[in-house]
Amino acid sequence: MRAIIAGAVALPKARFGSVAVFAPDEDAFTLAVEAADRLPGIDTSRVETLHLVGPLPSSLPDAFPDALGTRTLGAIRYAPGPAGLWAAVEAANAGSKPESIDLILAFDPGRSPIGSSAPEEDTALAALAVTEGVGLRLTGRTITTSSSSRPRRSRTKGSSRPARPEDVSGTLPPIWIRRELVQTPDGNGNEAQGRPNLADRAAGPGPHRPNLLPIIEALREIGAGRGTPDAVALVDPLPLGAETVTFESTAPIAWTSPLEPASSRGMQSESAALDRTGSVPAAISEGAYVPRSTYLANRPSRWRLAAEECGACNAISFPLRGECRTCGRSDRMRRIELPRQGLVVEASTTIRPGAQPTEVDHQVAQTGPYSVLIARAHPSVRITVQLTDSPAGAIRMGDTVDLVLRRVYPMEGEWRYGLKAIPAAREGPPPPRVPTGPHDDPVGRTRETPLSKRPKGSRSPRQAS
Amino acid sequence: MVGAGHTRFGALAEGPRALLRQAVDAAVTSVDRGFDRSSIGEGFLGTLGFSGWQLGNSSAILAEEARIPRVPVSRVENACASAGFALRAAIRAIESGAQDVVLVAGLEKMTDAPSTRRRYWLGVSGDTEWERLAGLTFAGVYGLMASVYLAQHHVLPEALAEVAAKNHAHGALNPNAQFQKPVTREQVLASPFVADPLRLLDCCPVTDGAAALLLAGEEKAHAFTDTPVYVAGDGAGSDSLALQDRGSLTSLAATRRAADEAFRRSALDRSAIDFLEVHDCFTIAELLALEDLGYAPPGGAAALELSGATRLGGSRPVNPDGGLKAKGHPIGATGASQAYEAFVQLRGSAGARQVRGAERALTHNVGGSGASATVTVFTV
Ligand SMILES: [Zn+2]
Repeated sequence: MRAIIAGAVALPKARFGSVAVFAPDEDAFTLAVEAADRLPGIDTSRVETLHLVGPLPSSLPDAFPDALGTRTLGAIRYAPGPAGLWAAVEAANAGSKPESIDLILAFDPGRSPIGSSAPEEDTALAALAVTEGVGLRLTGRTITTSSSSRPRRSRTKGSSRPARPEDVSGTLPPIWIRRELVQTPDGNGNEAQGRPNLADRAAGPGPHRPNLLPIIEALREIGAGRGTPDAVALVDPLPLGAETVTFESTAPIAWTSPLEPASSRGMQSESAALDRTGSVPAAISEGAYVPRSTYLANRPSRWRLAAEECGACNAISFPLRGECRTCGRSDRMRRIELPRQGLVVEASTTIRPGAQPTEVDHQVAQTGPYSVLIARAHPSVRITVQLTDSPAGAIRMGDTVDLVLRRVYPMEGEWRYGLKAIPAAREGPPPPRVPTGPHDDPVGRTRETPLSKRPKGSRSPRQAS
Repeated sequence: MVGAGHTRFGALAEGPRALLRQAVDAAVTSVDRGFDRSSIGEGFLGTLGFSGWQLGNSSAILAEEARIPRVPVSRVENACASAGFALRAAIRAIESGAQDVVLVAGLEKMTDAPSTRRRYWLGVSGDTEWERLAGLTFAGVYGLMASVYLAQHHVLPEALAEVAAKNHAHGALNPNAQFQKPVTREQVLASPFVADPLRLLDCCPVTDGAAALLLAGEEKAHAFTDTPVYVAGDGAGSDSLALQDRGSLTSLAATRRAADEAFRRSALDRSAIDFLEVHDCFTIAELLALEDLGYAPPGGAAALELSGATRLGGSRPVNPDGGLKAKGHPIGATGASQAYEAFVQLRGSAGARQVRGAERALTHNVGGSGASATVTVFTV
């Protein structure tokens, strides 16, 4: 069993100073995809079940399979925050065949859900990916305030009975978990059976707002060699009444952050970025129109360079068109993906403010000039992409770039996503941080202390008393 | 071609209907022996429909303003090559024997749109999904081509600046030109970047204007004038909408095909042409045109321009009217404006910008970044 965790987090300036961690064209969706892409040693196309933990506009959950290249039909959605993550991990444990891969993506939007008109909230944006579904197990400690199925409500009303701590460890009782899960893609499956719906509670009124920051912080500490290397303690008031959840891994946790400080990415300050990423810009009255159906149909090519190889003449057709662009045959087309790393730049220009199409006015107002490149993805395929995460003009002809999924343009109240270019990583994705603490343990070696062998009552140092 | 008319080009007070009327009236007036509008059998209007003022059925406006109310008219739209293709349709109508006299007009009214609407329309003729929504307008697409051209051929931006300086010098001699003021290479190279390596003075302006042509079959032509200008041959071609899908980033296959067809039809050698009207929407486009039309080897157009051969008084002047760069580029009118220049030059009535002894001319009209192109060869 393996447990690999990759995460990304954006922290509000008010709490963490001026470390910029995400770019204006990133959001919960693109960070989650990037986190999944950076899972070491995992081919996301092999993922069989997707678990999504976090709020998303209705258009996006179905977008994950296209973004990750999975063959899954959709995704199981969970409420935002640790409770949802907990439920997702448990579901992955319970439902997986030993050899199957479950992918859990968790994220909090830093701002209002895309497309909503709700006021912006100053909270964290995070993405967390967990793979090999059987690799993580849970222990936890819940505090329920009553036998009511709605503990939070009674607590926030201030009329609750005294808290009743309840330890939970190992694998949580299936019945208990299932009762709390939102297990169907539409989020309503359990409710239809008369069971409490976690999403309802998480979204309900009250001062609590779940977020993933404590998990991310704990993972970061582990990655840096501080803290307990094989466990993540989470101290967070959970909507379902749990106060402490400990994620324990049966293998070392590799922490990689796809995000680096602002200075090394050439981006603006984090506060500037935060100020500018919240919501979809107002409708563009003057701009090219791409019907949503056309955008959706082209998504596999736009997002993962899906192309077709003709078995008759060996020509590559890109984007997908169902028929060979060279010989016209359609009976021997094989779907492939062109590489998204190490593309050689063949042409480059920098668009100065005023020369941009109206669709990217919002972007120019935020970040000024930008470069557009034509890069070669295959001897017979070029692609036109914007450069991101780098100052305009930073890439020249002959340089190599990698392609990443980012926001491209807003249309009809939603963000449309596509590939952009970043300077190519010299030797593949950045390696996980090397642990330096007393629990130093090379990443990737299997730990010999599975959860079941740990002493009873063993707790992370960060666990609340 | 028995008559041709041209409005002033620039930011004009006149609306689209008035511009069309002026151009057609000027074409009618230009016919030496007088012209009865009732002889027009069909009309073709080249226009993009800029800013959407009359996007559908806009050719009806040509019938109204030309005062040929029952004559069939069609709009031909191939972006910046709209009028070039309207001319081609007119040539076919006459060549086939279907019509004796045909009206061709080109029109665009661009300067009255607010800037966001204008920027929207300036990019509608490129590939929408892969180019435009990656952040490219035509300046960006031509900027990409220029970046490759300069690097591949080790050409300095001076060559681009020379194209602008030369066309501004020519435009200064053209009373219809939007810019009638010379600029130096240094001024071009000191102007701000728009889409590197292209600078502001590498780009054609936003322009209002119209031009009109009266074409007649060979037998009919002499009823109108003793000195018609003949279409010796025309050609056209197409290419991928998006630059990324083309074989070369520094050559327009549509232009090459159009030129081959035009020279084949006209049975003339390239060397027989006295001057060229080429589609210089950006300075780089003129370099590519000279190479694709067969007047310079790949990378050789830069040296040709810097040698002075393409200036008035040189061995083969290019864009004696100032080109799109200085004369202006009212999108749908440009192809007709180029043919107008061939008409006045080959009849020796071009005034201060006259190419001495000009007997054969070539016009070259490109749609978008090269998805379509026409080439027409005219002779006395
Ligand atoms: Zn084939």
